[in-house]
Amino acid sequence: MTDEGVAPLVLIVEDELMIASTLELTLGMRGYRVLGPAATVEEATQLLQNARPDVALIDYRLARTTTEVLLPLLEEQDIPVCVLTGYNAAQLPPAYENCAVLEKPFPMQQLVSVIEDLSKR
Amino acid sequence: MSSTSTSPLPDPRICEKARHSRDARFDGLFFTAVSSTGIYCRPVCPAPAAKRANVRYFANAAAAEAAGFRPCLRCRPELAPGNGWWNPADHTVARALKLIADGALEGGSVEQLAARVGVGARQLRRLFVERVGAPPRSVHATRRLLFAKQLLTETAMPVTQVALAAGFQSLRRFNAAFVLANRMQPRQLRRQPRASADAPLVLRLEYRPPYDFDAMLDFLRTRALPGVESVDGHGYARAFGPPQAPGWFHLGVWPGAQALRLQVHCPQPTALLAVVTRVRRMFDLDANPLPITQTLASDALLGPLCARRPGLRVPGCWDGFEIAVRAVLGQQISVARARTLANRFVQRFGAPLAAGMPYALTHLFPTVQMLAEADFSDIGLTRARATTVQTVAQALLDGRVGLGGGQTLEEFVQRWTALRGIGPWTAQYIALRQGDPDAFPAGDLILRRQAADGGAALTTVQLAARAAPWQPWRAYAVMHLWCAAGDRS
Repeated sequence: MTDEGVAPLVLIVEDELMIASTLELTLGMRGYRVLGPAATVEEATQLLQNARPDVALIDYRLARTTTEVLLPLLEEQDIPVCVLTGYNAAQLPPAYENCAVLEKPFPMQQLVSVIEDLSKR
Repeated sequence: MSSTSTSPLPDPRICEKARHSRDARFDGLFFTAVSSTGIYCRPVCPAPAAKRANVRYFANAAAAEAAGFRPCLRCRPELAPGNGWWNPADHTVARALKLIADGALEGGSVEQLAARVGVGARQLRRLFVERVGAPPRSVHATRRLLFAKQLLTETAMPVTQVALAAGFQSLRRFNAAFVLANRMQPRQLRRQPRASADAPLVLRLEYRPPYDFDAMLDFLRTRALPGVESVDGHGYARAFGPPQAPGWFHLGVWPGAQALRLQVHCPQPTALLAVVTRVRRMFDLDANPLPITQTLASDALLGPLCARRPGLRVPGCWDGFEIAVRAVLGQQISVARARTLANRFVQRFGAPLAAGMPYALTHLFPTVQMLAEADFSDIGLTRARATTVQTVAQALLDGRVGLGGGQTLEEFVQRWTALRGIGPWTAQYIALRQGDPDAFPAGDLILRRQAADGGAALTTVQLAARAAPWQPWRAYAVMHLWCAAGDRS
């Protein structure tokens, strides 16, 4: 996964900087390319107009909204989604039912294996 | 009220002349904003000078931004040397600006800041709007965003790390604030390709010429603590804490520019701005040589020395406690002997660093907590000095004395000399190394001899009287006299 041309592209949608930064660095070190991080759904939508990520890693709740409106967009392009949530997975709205879920806090190793899994689909 | 009503802005005719001749001596002392473009610039901007009718001058970047101007992408206002805290005519504002640079508004309120400089919050805001051109919060915000601009332009640091370094917790807020100030997205400023995550950052630190880096290195070289600091022919390196996430920096010459080259490895992005601020202060990069030389050059004794070393600066310190301990260790012994003692302190009480640090850096200087309770019995220190070191550490822990933090020189010296074993020389020396431009250890034997100009050494009282016209830049006079003594020996 060292070749830039074939390294999977991961969209990150996360407003909280400590987390966004950790995700970006962790994935970067594993050889992934990162799209974003986007802090808002508007920003994510804009990024999706110009790039097609292999995986989307999105937080459930951003500062002002949830990321729910992004789901149809991602589904349309057949992009597998991993959602991060501070809540219980069962508490997520039904729209998220096809997503892989990581409950915060989670070990980075778990994140990496989920992303690896999804990017192979 | 210690403030005067003088404007911090140079005379408009001087500004006019300075910007047309791109005079670097005025860099950072004012900014030129051009109404037809909406951009503000440094006097050294290489772009063609704008028409006078379209130009407004500001004393501060925050003031230009508050008036709706955005920073120039060519001359990059974020690189201008600082302005304000060295201006001794405006004590309250100067001290508050210094505290803001120290991060006082990072977690604290304007009310707390105002209390530390002895005025009310409303009064401080009014003073800031009057003198600086923008309220304290805006000065703080502009500083952080300009630092983000520098990081985005010069380094390959990921945007999220840049935002953390600029003191933000929310990426959305950072993006919004950045766009408001610069009319462009952070990513649009990205010039550097991505580098490996472990590569040290390289930042450009500019100064107002002239700057005598060699004299600075000479001073630091004779005092450098092996393992903690290193001075070679090219620059100065040091390890810094905290022990659980240690970093290092190296400061050298930036060839072909009025700038130094800072290489820094700082594992915590949130600490980066504080590190850069400390480096700038340690190397006195925000000094304004013009008024200093004007004050000292007319003196019969100092005039020739100013001509010999026009760019001489006052070496600051990385850490006030470290300098206080070293000042105590150095009382009445030679610089070399004091260094040997300090080295023993480091080996015994300093946190060891993991192997593989560059510049043979192996230790951090011991912390206040460490030395407050340390056993100095077999380290070669007299009992009196050992007690003084412990007294200093205890007094810092319980707040009887502080380091920097909005105190005037008089307050600082008064508090420190109240400690047993700390005399006026030591207190003034600590103040000098902490960057007080007027600190003056009048009891210093070398100074008393130098000022006598071949005759019998002056008394402390005589020297203090002799030095009165050197105010408010007596620390620079000290450096000139010490350097001259070094030349002679």
